[in-house]
Amino acid sequence: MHIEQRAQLDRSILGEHLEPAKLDALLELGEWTHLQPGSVLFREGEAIQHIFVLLAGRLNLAMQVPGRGDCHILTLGAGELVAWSAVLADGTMSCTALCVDEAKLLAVDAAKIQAQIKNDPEFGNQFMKMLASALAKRLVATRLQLLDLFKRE
Amino acid sequence: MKTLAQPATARQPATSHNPWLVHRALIEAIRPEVADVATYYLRLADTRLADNYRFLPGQFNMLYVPGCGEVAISMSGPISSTGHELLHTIRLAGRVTDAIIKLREGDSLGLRGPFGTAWPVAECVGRDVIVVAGGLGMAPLRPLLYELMGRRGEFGKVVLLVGARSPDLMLFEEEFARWRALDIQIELTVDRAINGWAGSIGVVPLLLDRLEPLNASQSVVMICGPEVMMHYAALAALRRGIAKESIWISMERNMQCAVGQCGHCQLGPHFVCKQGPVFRFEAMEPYLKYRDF
Amino acid sequence: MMFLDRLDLQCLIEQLLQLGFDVIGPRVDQGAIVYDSLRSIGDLPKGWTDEQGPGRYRLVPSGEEMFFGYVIGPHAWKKYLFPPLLDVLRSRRDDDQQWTMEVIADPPVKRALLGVRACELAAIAIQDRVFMSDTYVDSAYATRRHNLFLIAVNCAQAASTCFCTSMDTGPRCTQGFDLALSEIDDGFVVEVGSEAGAELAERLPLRPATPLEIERADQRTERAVHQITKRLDTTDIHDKLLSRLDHPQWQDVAERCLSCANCTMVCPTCFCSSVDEVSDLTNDEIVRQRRWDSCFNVDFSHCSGGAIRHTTRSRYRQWLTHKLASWVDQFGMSGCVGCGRCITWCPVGIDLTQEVATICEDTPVCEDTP
Repeated sequence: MHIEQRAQLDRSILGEHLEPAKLDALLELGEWTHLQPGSVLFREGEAIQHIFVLLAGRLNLAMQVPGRGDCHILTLGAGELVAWSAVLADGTMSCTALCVDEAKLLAVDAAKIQAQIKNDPEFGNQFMKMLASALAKRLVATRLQLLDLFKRE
Repeated sequence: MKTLAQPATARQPATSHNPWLVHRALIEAIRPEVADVATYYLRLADTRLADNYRFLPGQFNMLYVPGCGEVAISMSGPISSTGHELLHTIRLAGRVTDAIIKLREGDSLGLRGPFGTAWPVAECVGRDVIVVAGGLGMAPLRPLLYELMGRRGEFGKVVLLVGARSPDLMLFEEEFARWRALDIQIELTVDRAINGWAGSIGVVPLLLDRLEPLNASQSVVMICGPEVMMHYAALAALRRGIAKESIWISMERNMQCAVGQCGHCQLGPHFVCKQGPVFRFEAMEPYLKYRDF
Repeated sequence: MMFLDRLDLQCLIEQLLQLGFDVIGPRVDQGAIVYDSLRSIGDLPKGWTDEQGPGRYRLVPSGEEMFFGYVIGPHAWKKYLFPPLLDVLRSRRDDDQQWTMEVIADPPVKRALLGVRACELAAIAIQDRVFMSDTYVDSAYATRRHNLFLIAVNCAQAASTCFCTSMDTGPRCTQGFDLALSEIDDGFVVEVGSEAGAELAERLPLRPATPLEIERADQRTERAVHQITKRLDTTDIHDKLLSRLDHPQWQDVAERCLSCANCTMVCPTCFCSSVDEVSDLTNDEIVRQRRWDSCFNVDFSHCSGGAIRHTTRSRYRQWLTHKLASWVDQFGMSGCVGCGRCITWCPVGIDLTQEVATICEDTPVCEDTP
């Protein structure tokens, strides 16, 4: 891969939590995907077997609300993790992910990650810390969004 | 006292005048902006005063409705306007602003100022400037943006990151096309989107997380908006490797005298009316985390 | 040093009245010694002394014939320099419905303050710094200050609430006065402190003080020093207070504090104020009035829809950290002169020296990581 791409990965949440050898191992497991604006990465309710790292572009997360249709609730950008419940839960997606700007993603098969975790506990340790960190960051951002949405004025 | 002689008024130092002195200002125009927000174009009635009035981006005036009270409002127009056209973008937020929004073009109110510290334009020269605006925080930043645009060649990349609750609440949105044409990169985000919204959804610090390319060591960040938003935006800037001393925010507190003598606007050792409202983030950092200090 | 016979104090008061001064000094009123206009030495609290403690103040006969045999009462001299109510601006609406605003000038009035203690001289110096030393000078303060004649009195006793020695402000008067008096049995040892003081001294029946008289005056001041038992440890107080904003003691004191603002009213250096609009019946003439306010009032920090300091804990913390720490950053000196009024006049007897001692105590558990 390009030096620039690797540099971006190093700067992302992956590089923050995975040591170089572990990051290499993850890249070995994954495949690069491109998405065009308007295309759907996965749908709400769908069972997904891959976890994704967004390297470039933007995705919107949307949820269906009866009577209101698709509500776009969050935009994800470069460096963010998508579809972690593929690894953490049964892979049922709670949102639809829609491509807004041309996107480049690393897709990694959840089963392959589980196998890697079994073989390399330290990889598992670092990978899980990364997931926890991503979740925490998303939670704070969501809370700030709520604070603003429900402001008195 | 020096001698027991006749009572005398104390001599004032040449640089000061009575800070309570209020001047009449005429409302030349009122421009509705977004819901509950309008920009008041004020002209100082005294022509000589109007000619000589100067302010810097980020400074504010105390606007006065006799019988009701005063409110501190930042100026939101270009600094070249002197005292003949002073723009104040006001949101209905309390008793005094409620009285102001009942005024019409041709009415007058009181004005004293300018007060407070300014956005440090000098610190931006030769560097990349990231301006982060949350909601009504756009208003005190607009004079800064006008300066950056007016002297565009002196600065590197200029990026404006704007957050609003929803697309219809995005202040000065109609100017963005013109600003983009003047080489200002603008990224938008809302908390709640509507159909057809092409910008991002989520809080404004996320835009700073994703900003690429970013030359952290060459960047300065100017942030204005609700306090919680400014705090998290500053933390996002720090996470991107931007130096603490390159981050500036604009604080808001209850103001009455505007000259550091009534005590209302204190935040730790700082008087927001005198050492602020524009502060270095690092000066505010020890107090921001308390929220009730 | 000169000497003034006891009864010739009357002469001092009369000379000042003749020169057009309003003479203000201590008087007994409703069981306390307060400051008010005087016309004769008969108005002074001769023979009274005060017993003070946390939340306690009593006047009792002293058994001596001294005019100044007590310490201090609830009044501070600040009410003459920074009045509780002051008109600052007048707005008039003309027939065209246009407003014209003008500042209201405080007419200059000569005031002589009789009986200013060392801690009070220090407090005046502090408020001079607050109101007169910046780009914007408070013109009412400056005019009043310019027309002030200060007759200080050296303390001959201390209350249990005094701690001026910890704040380096007393009990001896060293500067800032026009005249300073030290009362002994027969009269007063008089020290001249300024040109104006010298001018007045010339009009008084003074004679040189004898070495014995000077010694007896010094002994009385020494007695005041020895009677001071309260201490405030000011070692590193600024940094300690500002780095312990989460100390559990803040919650502890908040459970006792009534947020009643008594302490700020009696404090000789507190300067917080608010402004009100006062209109006539037609609403065509409005006066802006400045009045004393207090950081203990809930709405004092009202901003963006609510009070920022919405708990007693946050308000007490603001008052104490401002007075003893932030004040130093703002004005180059502590805001506290050690007069102890806030301790005496607190209805629940909160003693800031004890609160500070607890907060600044060096145990690892209590310290915030900065």
